[in-house]
Amino acid sequence: MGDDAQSIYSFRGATIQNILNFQNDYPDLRTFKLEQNYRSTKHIVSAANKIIASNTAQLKKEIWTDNVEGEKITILKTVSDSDEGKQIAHRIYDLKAQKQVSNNDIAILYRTNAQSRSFEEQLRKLNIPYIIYGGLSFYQRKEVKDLVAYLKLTLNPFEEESLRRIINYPGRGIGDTSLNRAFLAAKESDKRLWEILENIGSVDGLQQRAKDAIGEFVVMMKTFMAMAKEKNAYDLAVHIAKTTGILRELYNDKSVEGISRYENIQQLLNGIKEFTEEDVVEENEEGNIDRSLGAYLQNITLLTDTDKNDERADSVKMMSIHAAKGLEFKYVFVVGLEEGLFPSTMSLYDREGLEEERRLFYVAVTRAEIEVVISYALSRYKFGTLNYCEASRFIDELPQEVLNYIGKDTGNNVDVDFDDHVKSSFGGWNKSALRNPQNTQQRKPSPASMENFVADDYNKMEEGMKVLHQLFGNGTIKKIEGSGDKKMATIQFQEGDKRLMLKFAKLKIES
Amino acid sequence: MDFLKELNEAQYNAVTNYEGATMIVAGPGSGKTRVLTYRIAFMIQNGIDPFNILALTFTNKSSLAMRERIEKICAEKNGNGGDARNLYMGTFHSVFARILRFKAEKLGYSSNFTIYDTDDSRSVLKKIIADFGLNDKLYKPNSIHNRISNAKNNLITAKGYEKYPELMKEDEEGGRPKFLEIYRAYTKKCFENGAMDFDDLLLKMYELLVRFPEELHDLQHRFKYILIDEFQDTNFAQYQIVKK
Repeated sequence: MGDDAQSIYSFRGATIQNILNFQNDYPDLRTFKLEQNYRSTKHIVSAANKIIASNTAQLKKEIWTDNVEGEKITILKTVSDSDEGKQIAHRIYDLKAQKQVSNNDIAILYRTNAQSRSFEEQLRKLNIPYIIYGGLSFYQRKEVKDLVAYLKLTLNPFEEESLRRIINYPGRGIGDTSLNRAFLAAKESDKRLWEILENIGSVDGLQQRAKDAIGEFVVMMKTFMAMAKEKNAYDLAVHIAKTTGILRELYNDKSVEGISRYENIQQLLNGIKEFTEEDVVEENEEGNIDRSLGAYLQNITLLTDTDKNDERADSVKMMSIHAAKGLEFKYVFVVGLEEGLFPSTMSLYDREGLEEERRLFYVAVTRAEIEVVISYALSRYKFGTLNYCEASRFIDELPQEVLNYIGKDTGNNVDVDFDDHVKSSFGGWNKSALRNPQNTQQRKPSPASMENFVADDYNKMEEGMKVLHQLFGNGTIKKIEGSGDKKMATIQFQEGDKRLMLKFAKLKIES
Repeated sequence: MDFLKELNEAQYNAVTNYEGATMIVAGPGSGKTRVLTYRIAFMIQNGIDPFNILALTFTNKSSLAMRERIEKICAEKNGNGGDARNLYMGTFHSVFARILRFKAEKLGYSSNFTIYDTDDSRSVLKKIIADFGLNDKLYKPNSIHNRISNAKNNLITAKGYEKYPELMKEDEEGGRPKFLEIYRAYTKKCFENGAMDFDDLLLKMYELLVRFPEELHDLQHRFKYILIDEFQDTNFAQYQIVKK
């Protein structure tokens, strides 16, 4: 089961060739095509088809949908990477305020993980919670890796990476000199480090104090190994965290980082507890459920990026397009659509590379159910220097009739677009009609009349006032809660009551 | 079977035609997960033993969600979702790791072998490169690791690497003539450490099937039906294993 149009892992050795081989290896192969899309609007689906049409097709397929036409795809031009972060963060704020979209329904997708920074900064400024996928994951944190190293070593004492990691953590007086001596002894006798440590007494050139410390360490590890045969993973892990002194060491560190490290260890232990109690099907040969430490370690090591994060938290999701594969979101921001970034520089010189980038773009756009915003920046910092960028070729390849450009032709443009000119003067003409309250009151204004809409100061809003909203039309403020810029208003519109955050609701006072 | 009513015609055909080699080409948002889930539920309700079904998914999470749904459908039908628990389901790596845990000893590993993640692999390589006294600007642990990973995904072991003169030539011309030596040392080190890296899970699985025909036979006998999600993203090694 698959989709050649979504093949995006050639760097991992994935090969479309497998699909073609499959057809050759199984001449009786039957093929079924699922082409009706249930996820996205018509505009998004037609954009997707147009994107992939620029590639040489392998398996012919065109998706279609019965869903609504939906909003046009917004193309957002910004002046810099930080401006891009800012504009997108504000759009997200507006979405939440005006359409009551929850954070979980919003995703920012980028080509490279390094792009997340400017969005992080701006979202933080607006107090919008977010999760970054594919960053330093929980299991990559030092304190977590330390305890996990003990667990790994308990099962497999020959594993040198873990051994080196924790032999002197928490500090037990086994210094680098002693350790190097032991390494050398292992090399000379072609034995494994653990075997040397077990017989540390017979290694020359070590101080008695170091030998004692190593001896104690070996004895401790051996008690863990014995215990692993009887206890479940959780009891063992708690015992190890206590006996080794990890827990005490972190508990005594009362700095902010220290507290969070202590919490992380607690969280790891909770995770192990859950695993030992959870009803997961992890059968062994005899059909029993395997809740051993070995099964647990295997599980956490093989988690995929998207498995690792907590879905429950209500946060905007930020991730690379690769990580977004197989996921869907109501609102998707695909950012950094610039030549050299997306498509990436490395792909610009061969057709296959470029086609993979295009499939990646296809995957990004098709994650969205309701709306897609595509953004690019005219300048971007790369390795500390400012680079000027041009819009990605992928934007030009989109079907222009489903696009809505924002930020295009701003500034001192020599080039005048008459279409734009005519439209704006039309809007201006309508604006004067809007200014006359007799003409507009009680009527839902036409979109054209909204082009020059100016919102009033939200501090002036009071309960009982009649107001005008760009999207919902005329309404009456029924209730205002909260204070300052946190004021929430319940407003009765024609289509029903809405709760809006006043600061971002952009209302015009009518009377 | 009520759940079939939820399907459109194309989905219905993809769900109900479960015998023989089949390829389902699924566009984005076309209900692929639903089809895969219902196809398995349909198979079970038509008397196929879940024990004989292997489903390879893209993430562990999607596998859990699918399993839950399948168990629920089967429970509604026979009041017994327990059967569906025998389904073997998971990502390529987790399924192979599970199988290998019981077979590791045949391959000279303890059943408690450690799995190295990318960080671990790179740390081992870093040490090897330093021990060899090589310049780590030229021999970057990351790119060496990628190259080893690529070789393994094409089922090219350190031992068999010399049979590919074009690869040796690439190393030579790329200014990294010591690549094969590093690959060998890395393979040796992992083995001594009782560790398999991510790519070994595929490579060792393949080795198990090739070297031990009785294991191949057992697995062929067990997994009569194999379903693979996101087939376009499988690599050569994965395909060769499944083909067996």
